[in-house]
Amino acid sequence: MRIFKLKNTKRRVTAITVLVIAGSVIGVAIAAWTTGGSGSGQASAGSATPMTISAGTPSTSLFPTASADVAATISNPNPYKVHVSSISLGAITVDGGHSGCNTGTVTVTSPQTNGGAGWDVPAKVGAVDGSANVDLATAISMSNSANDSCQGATFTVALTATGASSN
Amino acid sequence: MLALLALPLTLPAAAIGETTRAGGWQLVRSRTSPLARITGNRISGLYPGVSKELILTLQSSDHRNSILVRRVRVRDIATTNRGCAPTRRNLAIRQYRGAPFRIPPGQARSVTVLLVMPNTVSVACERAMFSLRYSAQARIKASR
Repeated sequence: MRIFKLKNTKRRVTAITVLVIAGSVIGVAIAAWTTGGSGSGQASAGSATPMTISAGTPSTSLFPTASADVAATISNPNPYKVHVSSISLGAITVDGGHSGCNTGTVTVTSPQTNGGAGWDVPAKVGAVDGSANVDLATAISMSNSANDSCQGATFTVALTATGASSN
Repeated sequence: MLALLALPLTLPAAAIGETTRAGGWQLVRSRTSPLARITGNRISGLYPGVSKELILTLQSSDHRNSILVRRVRVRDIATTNRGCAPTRRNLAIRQYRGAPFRIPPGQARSVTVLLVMPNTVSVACERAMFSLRYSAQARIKASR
């Protein structure tokens, strides 16, 4: 009985020794690469600069019962390409020389999406802003109620473009 | 029994990342004193679609031994803007994939990591500051 107990104790010691040695080997293997370097830093994002829309030269003229195009140029001062998904047409004003024109007879179709395709405005390159010419076909109409004061008038339409950076 | 007596001596060394020499284990550094200090250049003006190089400098803290760096990692851990999470959709990090390299005692070595702001970046990330955490896996390599 006693001999049996002694053998058992030896086995236990041997087993523990093997386990501890195995444990230390694993510990060494991991620890060899876990002591390293560390540090921290920051990276900051810029902000988007608003695009500008300027008036272009329409290819068609407006007259009673007809529609015409609205032309504009979109400038992108950002260093990335912008995809304009829609352009909203807002308030219509007439030039000072034709203040008698009843502008209520002029209406717009809004928003414009270029058939769902939108427009891409290139990124700014160097000091030159990216730009895209936009022609909104048949976006403005004049009813038959327009008075004579509207002849020769230039109408200005407020445009608002909605876009986002793109590939 | 000799093995059991030796173990208490080797285990603490292993736990704090020691390395071996011809004479066995030797205490050289603890975890609270990393082998290398990592600093990076300032990155600013990130915008959708841009890639910027983050140059990390690993300055060895060990003036007696070379260290061998196996892995360098950059993580974005936080941003200053609510709604701008530190995720790959807002800032992707192309980690250093080069071979392990040696830094001589007390010297420095630089590696380049690419920060990419994808077009999936949230609008909330405008003017955001991304906090970056640098880490490296390294071990001491005996000087010759």
